[in-house]
Amino acid sequence: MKRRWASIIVLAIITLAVVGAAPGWAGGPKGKVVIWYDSGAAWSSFIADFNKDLAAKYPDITAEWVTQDTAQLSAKLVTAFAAKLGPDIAMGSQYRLVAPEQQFKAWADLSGKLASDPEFKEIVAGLPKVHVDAYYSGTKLWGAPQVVQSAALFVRKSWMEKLKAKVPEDWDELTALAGRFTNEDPDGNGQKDTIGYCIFGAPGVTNSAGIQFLYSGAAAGMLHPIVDPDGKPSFNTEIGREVAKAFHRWQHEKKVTSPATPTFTHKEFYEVVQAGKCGIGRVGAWNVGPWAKTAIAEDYVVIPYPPMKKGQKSYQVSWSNAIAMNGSSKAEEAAYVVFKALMSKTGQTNFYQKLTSAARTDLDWATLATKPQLAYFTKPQSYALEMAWIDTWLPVLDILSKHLNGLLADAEVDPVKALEAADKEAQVKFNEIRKK
Amino acid sequence: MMADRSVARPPKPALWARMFQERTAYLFLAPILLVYTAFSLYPIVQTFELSFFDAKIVEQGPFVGLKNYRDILASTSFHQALGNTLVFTAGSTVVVLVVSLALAVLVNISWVRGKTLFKVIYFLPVVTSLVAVGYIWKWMMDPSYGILNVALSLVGIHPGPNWLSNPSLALWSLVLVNIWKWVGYFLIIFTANLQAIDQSYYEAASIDGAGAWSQFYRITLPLLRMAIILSVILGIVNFLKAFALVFVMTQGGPAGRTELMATYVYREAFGTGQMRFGFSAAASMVLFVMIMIFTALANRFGKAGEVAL
Repeated sequence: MKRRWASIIVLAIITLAVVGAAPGWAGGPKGKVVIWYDSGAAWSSFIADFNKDLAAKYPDITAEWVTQDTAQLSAKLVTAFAAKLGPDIAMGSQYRLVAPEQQFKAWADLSGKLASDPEFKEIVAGLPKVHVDAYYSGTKLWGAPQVVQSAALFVRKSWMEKLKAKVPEDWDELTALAGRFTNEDPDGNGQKDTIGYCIFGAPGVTNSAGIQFLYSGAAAGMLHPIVDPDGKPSFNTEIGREVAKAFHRWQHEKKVTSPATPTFTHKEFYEVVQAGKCGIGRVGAWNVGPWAKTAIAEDYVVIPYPPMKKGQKSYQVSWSNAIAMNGSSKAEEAAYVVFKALMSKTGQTNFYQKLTSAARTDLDWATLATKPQLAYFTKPQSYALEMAWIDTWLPVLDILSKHLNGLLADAEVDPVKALEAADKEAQVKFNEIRKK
Repeated sequence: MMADRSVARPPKPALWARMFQERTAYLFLAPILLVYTAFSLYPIVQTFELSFFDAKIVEQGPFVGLKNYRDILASTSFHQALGNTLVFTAGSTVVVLVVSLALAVLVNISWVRGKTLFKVIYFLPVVTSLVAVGYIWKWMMDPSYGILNVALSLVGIHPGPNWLSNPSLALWSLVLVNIWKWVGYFLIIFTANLQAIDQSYYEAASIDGAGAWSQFYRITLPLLRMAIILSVILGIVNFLKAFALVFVMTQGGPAGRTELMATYVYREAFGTGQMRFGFSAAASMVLFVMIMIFTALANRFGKAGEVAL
C-alpha cells in the first residue's frame, strides 16, 4: 500500500515537473505579436489573408499590424527600443532597420536558428545569398530580406511600334530613342506632350537624382556607384564623370527628359508615367500590378538598364526590404512562428500574388509571373547592391543628390566640376562620421 | 486749494501682495499657463540645453559646448538656408502686406457690393491645407503640363519659365505661392481695423480738400499703424519658420536654392539617418533668436512712430 502511494506521488511529481517545464506543450506558442511595417494600405489585402491563415493554423497567436510612416520608421524604432518597447517584428527598407541594430543591437541573432532549425534553414536557402550576406553584422544574422527588388527600364511598346524602333542596347541608342519619343508624337494625339526619358532629379535620398545616378552608374559598370564596402564615397570615377555628363546631355543638350526633372521625386515620376506620358523610365516588379489600371496599362516591355557602350560590363541595381525580430521580445516563440510564416513559401507566394514582390527565388514562377513584365524580374542579372546598411550611404547619397540636382537645374553647371564638388563635400562628411 | 506735495503717495504693495489680491485671475490663468509651460517653454529650454550636446534621438550624448554653433556658422549649407530664409521672409512679408492692405481698402469702399463674398474668396486659401496647396501649385507650375505655362503660351510666351527648377526663379515661385496662401489672413485683419476708423476723419479731410491718396496716406495709414505692426510681426514669425511648401514643392532644390532654415533643421535631424539632434537643436535656437530679434525690432519701430490725430 505504502509503496503504491509512493509510486503515485513520484509519478505525479514527475508529470507536474514536465508540464511546468514545457509550457509550450500545453498548446504551443501563444500571444500577441506586434509587427511594424511602413507600407500602409497597400498591404491591407495581404495582411487580411495572412491573419486568417495564421488564425487557422495557430489559434493562440494574433498578429497586430501597426503601420508607420516610412520617413519616420527609423527614428520611431530607435525611440521604441530606447524605451524597451520595440515591436516583436519590424518590416521595412533595410537601411531603416539598421539604426536600432547599430545603437541597441535590437534584433535577434538568427544565425543560431540557421544551425538548429531545418525549417529556417530551408527558408534561408530559398533567399538570394548575396542579399542574405548583407544582413550579417560580423557573425550575427540580424535579419533577412523579406522582399528583394531590382530596378529595370520600361520602354513603351506601342510607341516603338509606331516609330518602327527597337529597344536600346547602349546609351547612344537610349538617347536617340528618347529623343524620338519626345519629338515625334509617339502617342498620336497631335500634341508635343510626351517625355522621352523620365528620371528622378530631386534632391534627397529616396527616388532622387542620387538614386538615378545609382541606376545609371551601375549600368555603366560601377559595382559601387555611391560608396565602397568601407563606406568611402566612390562615385567620382572616370565612369562616374561620364554618367554626370550623360545627365547634362539628356537634360540640357538633347532635352529628352522633363524640364521639371529637378523637382521629380517618385511622386511626380509615377504621376507622369501613369498618365501614359513617359516613353522610358524605371520600373520594378512592384509597379506592374498597380500600373495595369492606369493609362500606361501593360503597354511596355521591360529591359535591363543598357550599358554605356555595347559589350561593356553592366550591373542592375538590387536592394531588399528587411524583416527582423526583436531580440528581447516577450512573445519570442510566437514572434518566431509569425516570422517563419511570413517567410515560408506559402507566405511569400501570398505576398507575391498581392504585391508582385518577394524575396524567395524558389517560388513557382511559372504560375505566379505569368505577365511578361513580371517574368523579366525572375531572371537572374548581374547585380550591384544598394549598400544601405553602411552608415555613410545616406549622407553621401544626400550630398551627391544635391549636386546632381543642381546640375540638372542649371545648364551652366559643369558636370565634372559638380561631381568633384560633391566628392569634396562627401569626403568631409565621411571623415566626420568615421571620426565618431 | 493747491495739492499738498508733501503728502507721500501710498507705498505700492509688494508683488506677492498684488498677486494675492488678484489670485482669482491667476487661478483662471493657471491651467493655460501650465499647458504653455509644458508644451512651449519647456521644449524651448530643452532644445537650448540639447544644443550643447552631441545628441542623438534618445541619448543626450557627450557635452560639446559651443561646437554645434561653431559647426553651424562654418556650414555653407546653413549660410545658404539662412540667406534663402531672409529673402523668403522679407519678400513674402512686404508683398503680402501691400497686397492685402490694397485689397482691404478696395473691399472696404462703401459702394462695393458683395464684401462678404470677396472676403470668403480671399480667405479660402488660408483654410486650405498647406500640403494640398503645395502639391496643386507644383503641378500648376510644371513647365510642360502646368496651367501657368499653358496660359502664357496663349499670349505667345513659349516655352514658359521653369518655375521651380530654374535656380534664379525657384525661391520667388515659392514666395508667390506663399503670398497667395496668406493674403486673405491679413486682409481680414486690415478690414476689421479699417472698419473701426471713424468716418468723420475722412469727412473732415474731404471738406478741407484732401484727395483719396492724401486721405489714405495721412489718415488711414497712421490709424492702421498698430495693425500693420501686428501683421509685420505675424508675417515674420510665420514665414521665418516656413517648412511645408518647400518640403512638398522643391525639397530645398535646385541645388539648395530653396532650402529654408526649417527644412535645413529637418534634413540634419532626420534626412540622412544621422539624427544630429544636437546640431539641429543649435540651428533651431539660431532661428528662435532671429524671430525674437525681428519681433522686437518691429515692435520698437512701430511704437517709435506712433502719432496722434
